[in-house]
Amino acid sequence: MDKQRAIAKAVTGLDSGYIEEADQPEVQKKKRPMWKPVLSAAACVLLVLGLSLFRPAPLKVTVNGQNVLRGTVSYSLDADVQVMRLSLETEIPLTLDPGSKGSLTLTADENSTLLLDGQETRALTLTEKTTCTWVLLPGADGYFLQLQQGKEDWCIQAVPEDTGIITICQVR
Amino acid sequence: MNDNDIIELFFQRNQDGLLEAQRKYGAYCQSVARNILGSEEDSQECLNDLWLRAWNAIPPQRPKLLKAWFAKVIRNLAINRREAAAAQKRQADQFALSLEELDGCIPDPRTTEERTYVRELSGALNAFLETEQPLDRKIFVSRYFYCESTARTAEKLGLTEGQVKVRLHRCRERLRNYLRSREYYM
Repeated sequence: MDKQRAIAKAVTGLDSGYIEEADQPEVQKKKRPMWKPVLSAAACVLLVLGLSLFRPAPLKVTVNGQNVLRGTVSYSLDADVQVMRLSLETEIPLTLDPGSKGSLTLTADENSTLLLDGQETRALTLTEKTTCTWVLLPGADGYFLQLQQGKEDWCIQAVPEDTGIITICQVR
Repeated sequence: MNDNDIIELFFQRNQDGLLEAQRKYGAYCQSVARNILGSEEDSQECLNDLWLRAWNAIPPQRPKLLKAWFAKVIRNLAINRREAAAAQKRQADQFALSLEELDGCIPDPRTTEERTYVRELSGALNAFLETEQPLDRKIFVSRYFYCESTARTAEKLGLTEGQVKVRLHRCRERLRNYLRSREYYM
């Protein structure tokens, strides 16, 4: 018996309800990047604030639930793509261990929570009174969160999930 | 016009029913054929065959879900056309050709067995899909019935291609275990 032919015929006999169900598009789509328009809106508000005050917009930021010393956000166009840069100055040690989770909360909007779930074998430690820069870059498959500390430059791919949380899936 | 109205026009032998079906489901059916045949020209011919087949089959048939019925018929037509094209390629092969010549006059012992097998496998697939989450079921049917690429399925369902691939992989694993547990394993 031709196995592939039998499989093809058997699949043709699938329940009509399933066939119609599969052709209903975009049921999940609305759930995807809920935070994206929120961030865009927040970007506009903060940009206006920043321009009007001629200094980076002040932003209350918590990392792993703790306040950081200072946080500033700025926006720019890099190759026609709007990029949000968030600079944090922290006096608490911030460690991203493999598999650990950290959260970066922008109080501009409660929904803008980033969950960090590092899977790299190395750990990135932001030591006391170190300034690091977080850069959120839109990409084809999701977002790239770039962290800079001193001469080190980390780029992390982030994939938006249904909840509006982005989960870090790759460190490179 | 809803599907029942279209079917009613078919029953009245009113060609407006055919025109309405072509307008409503033509592009959809052609995409099903195109995914199997990979050729615009072949899928268009398949589509023409579909309308003829539908006109001859309704009545007496009265499909409950017209769209899925069209999809099944055109899928079958496309599979048959694909097989015919493969057979044509074998024409150049004298060994295969000699076997095919004999094949036409010797009863096929597998036909009944194959039909039974296909029917049972189809039933098992349906039973398996009933146990799956709707999202996984959609991904499975999109890939294996509609023969869509994982990228297209991801786009349609608002997922990433990676998520679709992972879900498909796990779904196949569950299917393998399901069929094995019911001794359908090939």
